Amino acid sequence: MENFTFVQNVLIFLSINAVSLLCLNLKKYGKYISYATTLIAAIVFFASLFDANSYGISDLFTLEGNKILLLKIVSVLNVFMILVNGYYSLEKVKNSVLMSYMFLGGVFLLGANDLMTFYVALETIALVGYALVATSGLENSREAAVKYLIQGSVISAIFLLGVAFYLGATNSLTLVGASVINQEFYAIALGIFILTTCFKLGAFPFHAWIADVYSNVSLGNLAANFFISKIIIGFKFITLLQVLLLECDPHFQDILIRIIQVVAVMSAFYGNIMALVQGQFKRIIAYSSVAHTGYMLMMVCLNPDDAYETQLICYLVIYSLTATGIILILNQFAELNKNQDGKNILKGGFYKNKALASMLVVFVLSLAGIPLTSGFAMKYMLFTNYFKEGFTIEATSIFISSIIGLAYYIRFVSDLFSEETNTVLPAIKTRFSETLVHVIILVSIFSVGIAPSLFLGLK
Amino acid sequence: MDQLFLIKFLIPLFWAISFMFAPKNNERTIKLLALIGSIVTLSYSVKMFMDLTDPAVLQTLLKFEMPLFFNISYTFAMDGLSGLLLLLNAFLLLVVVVATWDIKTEKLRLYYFLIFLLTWAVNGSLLSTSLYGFYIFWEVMLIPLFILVGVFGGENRRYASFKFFMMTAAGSILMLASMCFMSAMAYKLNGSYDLNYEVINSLNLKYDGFYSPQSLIFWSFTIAFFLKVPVFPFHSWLPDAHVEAPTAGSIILAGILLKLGIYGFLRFVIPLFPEAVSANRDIVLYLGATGVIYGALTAWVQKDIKKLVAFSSISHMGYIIMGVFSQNPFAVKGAVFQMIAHGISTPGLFIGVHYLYTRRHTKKLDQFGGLAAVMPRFAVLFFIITAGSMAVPMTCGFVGEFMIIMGTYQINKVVAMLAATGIILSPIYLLKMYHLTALGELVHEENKTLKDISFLEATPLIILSVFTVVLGLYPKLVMGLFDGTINFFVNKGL
Repeated sequence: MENFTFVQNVLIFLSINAVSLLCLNLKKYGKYISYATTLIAAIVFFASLFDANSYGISDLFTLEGNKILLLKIVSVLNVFMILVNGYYSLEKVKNSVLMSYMFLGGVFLLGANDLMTFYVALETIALVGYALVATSGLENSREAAVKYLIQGSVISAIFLLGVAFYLGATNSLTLVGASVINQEFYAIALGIFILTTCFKLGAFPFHAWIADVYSNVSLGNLAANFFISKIIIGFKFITLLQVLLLECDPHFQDILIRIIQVVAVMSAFYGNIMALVQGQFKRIIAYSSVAHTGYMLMMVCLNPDDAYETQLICYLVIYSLTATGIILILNQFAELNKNQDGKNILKGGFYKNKALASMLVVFVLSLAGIPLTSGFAMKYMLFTNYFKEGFTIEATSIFISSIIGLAYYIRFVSDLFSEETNTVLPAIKTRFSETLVHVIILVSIFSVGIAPSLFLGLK
Repeated sequence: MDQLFLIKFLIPLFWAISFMFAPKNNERTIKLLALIGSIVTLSYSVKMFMDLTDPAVLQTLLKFEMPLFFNISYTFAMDGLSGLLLLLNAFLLLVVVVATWDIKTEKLRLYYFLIFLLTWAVNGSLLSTSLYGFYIFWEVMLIPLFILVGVFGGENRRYASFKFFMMTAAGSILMLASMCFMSAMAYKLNGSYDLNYEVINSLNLKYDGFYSPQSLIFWSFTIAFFLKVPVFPFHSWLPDAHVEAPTAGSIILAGILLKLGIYGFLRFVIPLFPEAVSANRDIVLYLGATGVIYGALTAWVQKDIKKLVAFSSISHMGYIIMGVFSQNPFAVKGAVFQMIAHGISTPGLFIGVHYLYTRRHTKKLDQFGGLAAVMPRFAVLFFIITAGSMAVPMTCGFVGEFMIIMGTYQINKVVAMLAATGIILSPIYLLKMYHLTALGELVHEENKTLKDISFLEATPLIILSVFTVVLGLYPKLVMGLFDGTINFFVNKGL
């Protein structure tokens, strides 16, 4: 399975991006050259994946099956995000370059088969994440980045401790096929990995960074950060924990699964309740992401299964796409209002740009799980799976928490249709690339909503 | 199967979309477009109804497989019950368009778009016999009504629309949770997520106490439908929604949307969860009777005419829920008849309120009085409608309420007697309303110069008045149409 074509592709991607980074320093055409090279690198990398089925570099790194599928999806999203960012300002080009590095970290995380590769990839994503927050240019961006960095570093240190326990429990750092010789150490290691998962995905009670980061990062950067970190980290951690839990002693396994269930239910309730009382839309999205983390964290409790993996990918991609779409539209409204805080940015939005507002309504209703949108199909599938596996009480609890979610999602709609504000604002002009991305998100929401079986691998 | 069904079914949706392309500043064209759309919708609804060969049997209109949507088979079907409600829905659309012809708004296209979308979603719910279809349209109809109240409503429209949306959507989520649970069971049993009658019956949901699957599913559906009807104590959104909603919203809400909760009980809950229905019958009966009295007493003390009508709705819906759950065929038929009667009289009352409000810009009862002197046409028609609502013999309201109380008496005498007090209370608050608006002296100067309703304005009230009297004198006109359907429920669940 050794395949050095992939290494070659990664090296090409890395080199072109290094050129982009250097070009940023050129005075006159720097940002254009940098943007073009970043875009070319992303497109070339996506093209190189086009007919790939599997990649492997020794036992450290393998990409096959659903991972390849996910990589292809994220690659194309990366291209779109670069397109959306555009070449208009140096800041945005800088973000595109940073995003490419984050993407690269994501690629390695996805294929990581041993804990060292895993750790390095995770840190690459996190470091770029800190940089994206710090360079947002908002009043408290740096403070948020430092908080994020400190909390992230502590979690990294704890994760390393988990790695040590894992090593002690299995005499190996490999994540596949390691035989457990000390169940106590193994359970502690898994406990620490669960904690890391909760932090990285922003589950209760390790969610504190989410609201800070979301509210102090520019919406464009948030969107960029969102889809790569959420999709890949979410997928990798959940599928990894599913596999690792199988090797655990039934007694410890039961305890760990209980912990995950409690965290999932608490996240769903806490995220939804907190989102309800927020004033800023960015904070609403932040807390709604805590709730959604709760919804999907329950998947750790399911047995590893190809169909569930496909559904998880679909859930993550659709959720991230929809949230990214919402953030991008909020960004457009915020720019129009010269108000990055986003408290009243949607008031009367429908009368300023009907198309944009209508799209935002669809995106939000999808997150709320209204039928014929992807949100409904995903929610239906996810919860049916939980019921199927016997998690009746947990699934019902999460369902009940989602009732609260409706209240803040519908606030978006209510604001958009509320009366025009007194100040006359110009109509919102959207760039072609932005419109393209919105349309793609819209099509994917309805495609998955109307034909879910096609995407969820249902028979 | 009706080959053209899909086209007919999609007409209101296409019509709704057409408003997006209508000329923005041409009010007359937009209104004419709405009128033509409502006539077309009513025409094809009548045609579909006439084509029903046997109203007792669910006649399949369209059946298709949906391999890409959880691999389910989807059926649109109609029987006497759904057909009658379909007719009522289309009729109310026309009534809304005519009654609110004088509407002045810059967002006229959005207004009609929402009304037609709502009509389409209601049709979808009525004609879907699979739970998926019913749920999808059930949810879809929340959005246009939310926006309709939120954009075109009164001063507190934001609060009212939020409350309406949250309470009804919360019920929907409970229903969805049960559907997921049944889907999971169906998948384990048949390898399919489909949820039609046969599949749900094959699940053999056991009933042995509150915590058994059938009981929990029954309650999640029941709470969802209680919230929609609404049944006391799940009613608090309705007065706010009615008071703040524009007239069109109130007419559609009272005329047809509330009935969908009852329809849900008849179509799904009673046939599918019969043991749970029997076991919890008395609880629901008492809730219904409480609603009758509570709604009536609260209506009595209202000073806002629209709020009074809203609370009268809660009282009337209490009768209907009693009839449906009484497990007595006579009462069930009475309940269905009362659904139609309420769908005629309450929209009529809201139209009356609309005419008063557009003239006086107030809904306070003490601001009227003696209007019969200056608005005789209005006073006569409003009286007939009010009489229908207060269940005066020989009006449509009497037949339903009488049958419900008679039927319920055979099952639970206490509940029937409690509910019978509503018969005394409804004339009290409705006559008070009529007296304070139309009778007495013309005290307020502003009222002395009020213009009577025009012929166009009178048209919907005349039609509704005719129905009020005709159905009161000859109830068999509609009774025969759902007899067979009720017999089906009798055999299945009651």
